[in-house]
Amino acid sequence: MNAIEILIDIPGAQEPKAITAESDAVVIEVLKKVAPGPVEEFYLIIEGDDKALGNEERLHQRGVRHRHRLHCRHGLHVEFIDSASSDAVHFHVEWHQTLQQALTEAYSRLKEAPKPDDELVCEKNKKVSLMPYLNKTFHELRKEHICPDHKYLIRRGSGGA
Amino acid sequence: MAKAKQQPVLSSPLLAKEAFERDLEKVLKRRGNSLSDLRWERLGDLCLFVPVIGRVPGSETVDQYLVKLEFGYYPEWPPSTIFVNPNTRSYDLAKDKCWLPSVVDCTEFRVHDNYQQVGQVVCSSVTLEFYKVLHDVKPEHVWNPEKQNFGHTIYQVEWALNSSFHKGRQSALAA
Repeated sequence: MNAIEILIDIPGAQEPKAITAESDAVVIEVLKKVAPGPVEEFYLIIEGDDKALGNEERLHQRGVRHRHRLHCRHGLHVEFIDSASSDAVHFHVEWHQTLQQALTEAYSRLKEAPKPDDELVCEKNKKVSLMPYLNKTFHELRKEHICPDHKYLIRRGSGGA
Repeated sequence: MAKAKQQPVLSSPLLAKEAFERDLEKVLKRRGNSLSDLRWERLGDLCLFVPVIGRVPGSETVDQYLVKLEFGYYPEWPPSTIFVNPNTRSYDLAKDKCWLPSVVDCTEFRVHDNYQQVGQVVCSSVTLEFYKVLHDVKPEHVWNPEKQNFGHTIYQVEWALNSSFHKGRQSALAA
């Protein structure tokens, strides 16, 4: 692996910051170099991309190359998947927003209306319903380690039995 | 388009294959994996085997099941969905009950080993067999190919087998 230079826009800074990193560097290591506050409150996203870089991903895995431009943002990037269609939406939310606010935004972006038997679950751990947590902020959810990768599944019900 | 209380109608093989391949790409993309990473196996144009792990809450036991999806009526109707013996990749009522999960008191999903003497039925509005037996279904649950694909079927199976309704296998595995 070789060293690459990447340009990162940082909140509050006029100019992007040039960072040199190995192309297989882990994203969190890059984030630690540029986050202007607690690193867990920021994320990186490639300019023009709609999906944030995962903290454990490596730069080359997401196609980050020499002189690519990234943005460091305060808040978090969430993903909601509709289990019926497998459609997904990704967007930015602030830590003080609630899961319900994000879910409402997700339905709007999916151009879908909520149904009474819909259930929100963590995509990686579908056993745990997130319905009791809808009024919690993302800040509170982070403290409670609820769905830490911010990838949610809107589980659509079915008839049966 | 699927309708309640109406026998499903076969799709043209070409249409079914096109729809299956289109949706397979979408479902794999969403799961961020390839067929081999997921250990899903495609057999021919219109058949997919999907391993699903079931867990009983409060138990360390992990039950491994194999689901066979067939797409002959797709996309207007959901895929045929049955649990099979992973060794034979088929279902023999006399011998294979141990390869079926027991899902109890769930209003969305149940697995009948021999529903009304017609064979195995995964009783959920995201499976073809549910319509073939002319099961009652609410209008909002009728399969809608414009808003649903077979990914929904797999999500429902995974959910049911990891929910508090899953009680393990319908009978013990032979030693």
